[in-house]
Amino acid sequence: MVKPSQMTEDQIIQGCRENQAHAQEAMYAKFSPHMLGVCYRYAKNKEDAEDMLQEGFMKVFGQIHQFKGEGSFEGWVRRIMVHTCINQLKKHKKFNESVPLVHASDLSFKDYNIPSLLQAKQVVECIRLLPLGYRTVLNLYAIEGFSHREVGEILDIEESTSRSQYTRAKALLEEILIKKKILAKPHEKLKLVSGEH
Amino acid sequence: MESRFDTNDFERSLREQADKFYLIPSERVWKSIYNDLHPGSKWPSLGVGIILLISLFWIGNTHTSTVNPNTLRVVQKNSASAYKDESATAISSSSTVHLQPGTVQQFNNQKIVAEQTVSLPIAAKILKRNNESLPEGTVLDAGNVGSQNNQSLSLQQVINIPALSTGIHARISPKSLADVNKILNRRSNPEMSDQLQKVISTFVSRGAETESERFLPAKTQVVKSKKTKRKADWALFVTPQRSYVHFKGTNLNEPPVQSLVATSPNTVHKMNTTGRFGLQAGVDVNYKLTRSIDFTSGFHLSYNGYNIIAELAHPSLASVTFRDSKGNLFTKNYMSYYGNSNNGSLKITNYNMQFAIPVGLQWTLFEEDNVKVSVVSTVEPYLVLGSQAYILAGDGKKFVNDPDLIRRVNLNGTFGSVVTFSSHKINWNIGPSIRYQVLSTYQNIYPIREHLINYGLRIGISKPM
Repeated sequence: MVKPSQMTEDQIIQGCRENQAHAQEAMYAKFSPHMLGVCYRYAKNKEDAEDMLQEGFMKVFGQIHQFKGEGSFEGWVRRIMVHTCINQLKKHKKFNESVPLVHASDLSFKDYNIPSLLQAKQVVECIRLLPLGYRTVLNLYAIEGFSHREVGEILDIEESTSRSQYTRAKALLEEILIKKKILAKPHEKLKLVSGEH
Repeated sequence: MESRFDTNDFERSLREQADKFYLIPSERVWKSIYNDLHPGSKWPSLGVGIILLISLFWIGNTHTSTVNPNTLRVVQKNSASAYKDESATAISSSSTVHLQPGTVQQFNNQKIVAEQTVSLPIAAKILKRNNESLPEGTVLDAGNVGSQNNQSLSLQQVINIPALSTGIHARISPKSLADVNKILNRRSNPEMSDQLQKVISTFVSRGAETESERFLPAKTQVVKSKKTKRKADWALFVTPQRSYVHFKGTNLNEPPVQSLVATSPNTVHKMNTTGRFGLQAGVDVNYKLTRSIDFTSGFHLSYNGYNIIAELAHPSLASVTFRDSKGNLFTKNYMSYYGNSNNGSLKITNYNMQFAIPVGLQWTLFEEDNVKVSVVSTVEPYLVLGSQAYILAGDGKKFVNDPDLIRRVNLNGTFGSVVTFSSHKINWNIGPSIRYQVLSTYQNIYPIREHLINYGLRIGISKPM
């Protein structure tokens, strides 16, 4: 028997279709760290993210027969994770609520030096500082690559609401990133551009 | 990342950063998924638990005497000195027989039918009706009596000896006893009075300790058997306790980004902690190894922890540096909501809930009728069921919470003393105990070693199995 760490993606998929524990373990080992990173961007904390991850993987293992091999398998897993996260959030949050506009200047952060190696982590943490509505729209539009129309359908909100929330989220995030010295301050005033081009 | 304010650049950069980000899930996630996917695999652990429980009860039951407390032990003293000394309690095991109603038993090497009994009140009435007594110290030669009247005995001659109503102790010689037994054996003799048969049988087969002793006081003693010393007992207890903590080690500074940069010396940061009340409860089974040493084990559940003096702070990133098993330093970042303060108004709590299986010895130092004093020492391997773990960030100014850092399986050492008071049916136990956490609360990657100490008062009940 091939060791889980030495299995190819095809072997993993085939093994998972046959409900083989070692193939499932191999898939989990391969994708869980990045998928937890995805869930973490949507979740309130790491525990919630792990719950989302668990539910997402259960769906992946349950629906793996539906994967036709078209496109990236990781992309397919990721889409399931994102939809799982959104469904979890929808249980507690209505995304069409009007979200008060929060200016970054209202937030107070202590400045300190951050090693550049940790930049990815810090960017994600900054995203997580955004209000939930902003954060979700930004995650779906800017990172997952959905259009505003798709974001609207996923979150049951108007397309225009998605646009406006994204604009505000982006402005707020930029300000936070500058404040945290992850992003250099521009010489000229920030030009806020609405989402889709 | 300068000049990323063009929309495409910003989003691309954001996506790149987000895609680089990953987190290692805790072990419980995969275990939960695995258990959901393969539910059959739960059974082995469940089976082991059941087997363990059954084993404990089996040990307790198989090492407990099966003697019925209503059974009489008839003891014959063979020596002449024993005969003379009424208070002597020397027991010859070879002459011990058990009498139970409805069964044919041995009595002084002779068979009697113990079902030939009448109730004690009837026997007492018979005795009362023949209200005669012998002077104190009178020795009845039942052999002579038995030979009288061609093996026909009168009621008075045989059983009027101790005179239940007067309490006078008479003595029967060994020879007399043999003759009484002969009479018993000839119970079918039509010449033998029915009343006599009934009364004799009554005193032999009933557990009326006093009457039996009076009837056969010197040569043969019929004593109510004491409960055999139990080999095992179980105890239910609860221990209110107060937990304190002490730390060893220093925080590590963050590893330098470039290896040529010298690392500054590690710093010691202090945090203020206060004790916190906790609770331990469980079931113990004590199994007697020797007269004074018991083996003890069981199941314990406990909650303990301590408070940290802190203050609310704006959410911000904080990092903690760890050292892996190869000695390499690495840093993890956390969101921090609490600052370290000497005079903060806020208390945050580190706690854990444990399930432990203690293994140890109990040594009895002193034992009197109703009081026993013993000391107990155990080691308790335990599993952490739930926890909260605030640790100090590398800068010493913030607290971050990372329950994943907790060592899931750990070890406690306990020492305590127990005073046991015996009452009618159960024993009451009380005594102080100290519990020390042997291994650090946190995994070895964290440079600070944390050990909890619990001082408690154990209160419980115990009962032989």
